[in-house]
Amino acid sequence: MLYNEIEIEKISDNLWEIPKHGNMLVPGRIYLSEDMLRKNIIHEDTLKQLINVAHLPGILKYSLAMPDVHWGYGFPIGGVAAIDYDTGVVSPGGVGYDINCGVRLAVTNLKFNDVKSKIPNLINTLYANIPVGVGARSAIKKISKDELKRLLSVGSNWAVNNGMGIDSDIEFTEENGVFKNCSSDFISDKAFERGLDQVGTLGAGNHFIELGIVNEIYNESAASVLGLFNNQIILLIHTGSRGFGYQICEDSIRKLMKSFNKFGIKLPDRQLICAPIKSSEGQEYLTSMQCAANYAWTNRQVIMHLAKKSLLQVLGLTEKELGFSLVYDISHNIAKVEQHLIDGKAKTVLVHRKGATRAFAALNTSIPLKYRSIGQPVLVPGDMGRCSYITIGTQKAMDDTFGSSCHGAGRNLSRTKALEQSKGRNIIEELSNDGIYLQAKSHKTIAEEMPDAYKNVTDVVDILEAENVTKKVAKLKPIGVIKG
Amino acid sequence: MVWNYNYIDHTADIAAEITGSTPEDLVLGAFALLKNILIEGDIKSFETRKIELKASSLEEIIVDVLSELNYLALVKRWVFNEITDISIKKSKDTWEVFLDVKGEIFNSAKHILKEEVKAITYHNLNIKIEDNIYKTSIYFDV
Repeated sequence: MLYNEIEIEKISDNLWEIPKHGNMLVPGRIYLSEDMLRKNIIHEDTLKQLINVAHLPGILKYSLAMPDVHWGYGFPIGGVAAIDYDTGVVSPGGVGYDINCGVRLAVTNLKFNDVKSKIPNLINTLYANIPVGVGARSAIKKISKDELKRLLSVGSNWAVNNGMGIDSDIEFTEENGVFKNCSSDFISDKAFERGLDQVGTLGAGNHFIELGIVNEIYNESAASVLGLFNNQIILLIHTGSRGFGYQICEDSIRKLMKSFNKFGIKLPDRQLICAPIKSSEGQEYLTSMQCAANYAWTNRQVIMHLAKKSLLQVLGLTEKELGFSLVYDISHNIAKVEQHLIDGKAKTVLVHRKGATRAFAALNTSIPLKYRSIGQPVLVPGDMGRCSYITIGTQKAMDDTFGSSCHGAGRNLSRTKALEQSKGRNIIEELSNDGIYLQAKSHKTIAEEMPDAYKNVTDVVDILEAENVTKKVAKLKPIGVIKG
Repeated sequence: MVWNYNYIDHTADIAAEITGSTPEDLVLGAFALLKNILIEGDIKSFETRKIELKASSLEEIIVDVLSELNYLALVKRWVFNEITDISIKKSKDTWEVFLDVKGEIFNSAKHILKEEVKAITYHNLNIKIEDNIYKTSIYFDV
């Protein structure tokens, strides 16, 4: 069939393929329901971007798009591309500017009734203690360049070593919160400057802190392994590497612009600019990107520490009574070296996940030992009014998506349309009527981030459930939200 | 001085089409666009900052100028008001831009930083000349 003048073929109920054509090296594959296709919610440029990614040298099997896919720049948001490590390229555009933007889920011993009367106080205290908004600066003291270098070399451990976390926080962070062999040698002074005072800041836009409850459990045994129970108070943190990561990506793309011609690669979009993985330019980007990833894991760790202090302050509990602990921290903007089976043979690949989350199956040694029997937890935040999901990766994900899943609901409306549609409405009151207390830095952000601006995350998660890529464990419902 | 910009509807980020009668006008249009995206409030031209950049294409010049202005606003807390002097030179493989930008130190009592622009991207950045008008689209990651 033709979709926005692009030929697509149905592979299964929720999986569609754009056949290889022109200079595409592999076909494109997109996870979508027929209903989503019929409603024409996928912008034609999203599919063009999926096709463009299929031009990257060394791409294997498919250029993939998850069901939360939407129009980005270079890669579509929700795009996954696995590239042959020996012969292929790395593209900073396949990671994005907010390197290691990701989500962290922490749980407590508390139930909804324990905090019901204190939700505004909790949110206001979190809002006061955690810097949010455009150009927010750190709640912890500005660090020196040498200290930042130490942070970059040990990732989340830096926060734990400075009393802002415990050992188990490291265990339950993807990659244990650190790319160990990264080098900060190629990082510009501008990037360092931007990194000095943004550790422990949320930022703006779609970044958020959400206080919520476990609203429904679908898989009791997996929920038990993850330490989840009904009505449990939870906290979600969504942010990334802040200005430090943005600057590293910007610097890397600028450098590649200067050297790109020598590689003799032809690309349909300049934003996909890339370098052979094994070239000095490719390695320089990868090691700098890893530093930014370490910064992001530390950022979320410090925010979690500030959040714990805020909860203790308001609730007047001991740490033991609060039981604030990390379930998992996962990245959704990253490139990682992984082993995957290609035509029955183990191959080393560089998986670019741009607005996509790793979703490894049970028994994978990259998963914390405690979760290895069930599969890797995948954190899928929805919009600020409806719900979010915890799912787990499956063997089907390993077979079909290079162990990848969606990263959220995906935008449905542009910011401009969201602003238009919010006119005359009181979003704060609408959320309040649904039992959600909102604190935000600006009315513009509230309008741009209103629930209707996003697809229904349940539809997104159900597509991957139906295709056996991930399995639902629990649904979370927000009761208090902070937006930057 | 003839330049213009119009926002393009984009699902996740901010995009616009800019036009200008010369390369300099195109940069002036891009400057006005970024100012509109980033800053609200009364900005005075108290101080001049010189920006001098080299690149291999006019597209790169535009990205580099906007990136520098974004850095000045978000990191240096210096908000820009106007460009009072601009020249662009092209030699064989190099474009050079010289700017005098006027503005002032960010003051939270009268300025608001409206948006955290993560970066100015190269997506669909392709300058075309149609009927003697320079034209391009530009996408901001926000």
